[in-house]
Amino acid sequence: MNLRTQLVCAWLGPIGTVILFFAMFFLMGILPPFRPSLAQGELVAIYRQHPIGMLTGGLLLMLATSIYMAFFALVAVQMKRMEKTPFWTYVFLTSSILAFYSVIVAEMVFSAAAYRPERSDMLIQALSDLAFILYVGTALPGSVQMVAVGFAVLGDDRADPVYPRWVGYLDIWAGILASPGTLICLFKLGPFAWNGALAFWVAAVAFGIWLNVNFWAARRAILRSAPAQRG
Amino acid sequence: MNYRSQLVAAWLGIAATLIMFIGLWPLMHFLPPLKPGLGQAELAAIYRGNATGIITGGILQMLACSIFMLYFSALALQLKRMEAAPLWTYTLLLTSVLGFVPVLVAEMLFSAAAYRPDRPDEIIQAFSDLGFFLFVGPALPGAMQMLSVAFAVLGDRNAEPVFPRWVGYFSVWTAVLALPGAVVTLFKAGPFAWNGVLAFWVAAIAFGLWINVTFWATRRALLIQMKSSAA
Repeated sequence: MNLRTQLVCAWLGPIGTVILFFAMFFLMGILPPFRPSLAQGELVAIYRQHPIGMLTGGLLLMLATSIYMAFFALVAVQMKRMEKTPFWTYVFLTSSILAFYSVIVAEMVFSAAAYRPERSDMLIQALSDLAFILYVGTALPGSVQMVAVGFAVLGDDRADPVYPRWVGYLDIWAGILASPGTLICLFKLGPFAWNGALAFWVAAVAFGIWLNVNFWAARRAILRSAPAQRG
Repeated sequence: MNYRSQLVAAWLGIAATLIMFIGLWPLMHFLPPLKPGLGQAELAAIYRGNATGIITGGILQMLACSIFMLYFSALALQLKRMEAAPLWTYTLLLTSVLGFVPVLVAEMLFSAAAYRPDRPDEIIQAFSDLGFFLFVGPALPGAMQMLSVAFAVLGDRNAEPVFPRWVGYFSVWTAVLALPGAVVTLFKAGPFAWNGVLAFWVAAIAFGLWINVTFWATRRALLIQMKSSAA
């Protein structure tokens, strides 16, 4: 794969994150996420009044998820250079899909909730719950995804490692910090609810930092390998 | 180091199967699965009465799905050693995700059904139905997973085959036995319903045996690799 294609794929990571943020904040209005304890009448009013924002934001989430795949493939290419047998590369690729598939299902459920304003309040609320559970709750596959990069980095015993070792430790910490989202179904308020400090904010920030650091490290690795490839 | 990670990952396949079983049986009380013919009020009462069990069982399903990715990655690496071009390796990786994404979505549907006890019975039933379709229904991606192992094993041209040939034939048979789950949507009672002898029990036992046999073969292959790399 040539240098420019690799760099474009690397940039798709931060671009995907910007699209995700833009969709959630400006279009869907789910940043911060709706409180689980929001009264049914208030909740359904949001879906009925802003269906277009919800639907177009959903489209952008699908776009972000799709272009993330190119970024993750690029990360996998770098991981494969670190490993003799591509064990963590395979773990990373499979858990990337497992984690982000539920984002696509979630955005479709958000869209289904907004699609017909005449749906009953109860049904809109049920679909909205399901969407947030899918969106925030799929934490463990995401943790495995982040930790997989960490183990590949720390297992890299080349004289000139592909990524600096601290990236490996950061990946593992990010994976641990992203895991509390797992518990959201047990809570309706507090730090472990789907809008909570730990389950949502810490996890989201951990993912954002993980993504940007791995973007930086992948970009650095591509640029460093470029002269070697030519010579 | 990498062999040891793979050996741990092989054991995680067994651990994941066990975690899934614990989630399904003592926590969710979904073993045997809830009857499709159950009255709406009765079904809703089950979700309301055992909300915490269904949600924590769901968390264990997510944990099982996440660590199954490590197991299938370790299995895929053995497939890669059998093949000149990694066709069945990639098929195994893709169908592993395709087969386990629905389990993840199913677990979230069960959790969403249990999340609010004040949901109408009708919505709980719809979420529960969809959950069981997704949980028992993806038999074809599962069968394809088993067949990709079978084709890789039977096509192995190494002087000393990675897996014994009988593992290949065995995988074909488990794939055939896992198929009936695909038709659960057409039945509400009998052997092909989602709680039926063929669609559920035979398929679940075939899957369990397949995991254990492929675990045994992966572990055996890894121990041989470790011995020959030490020598």
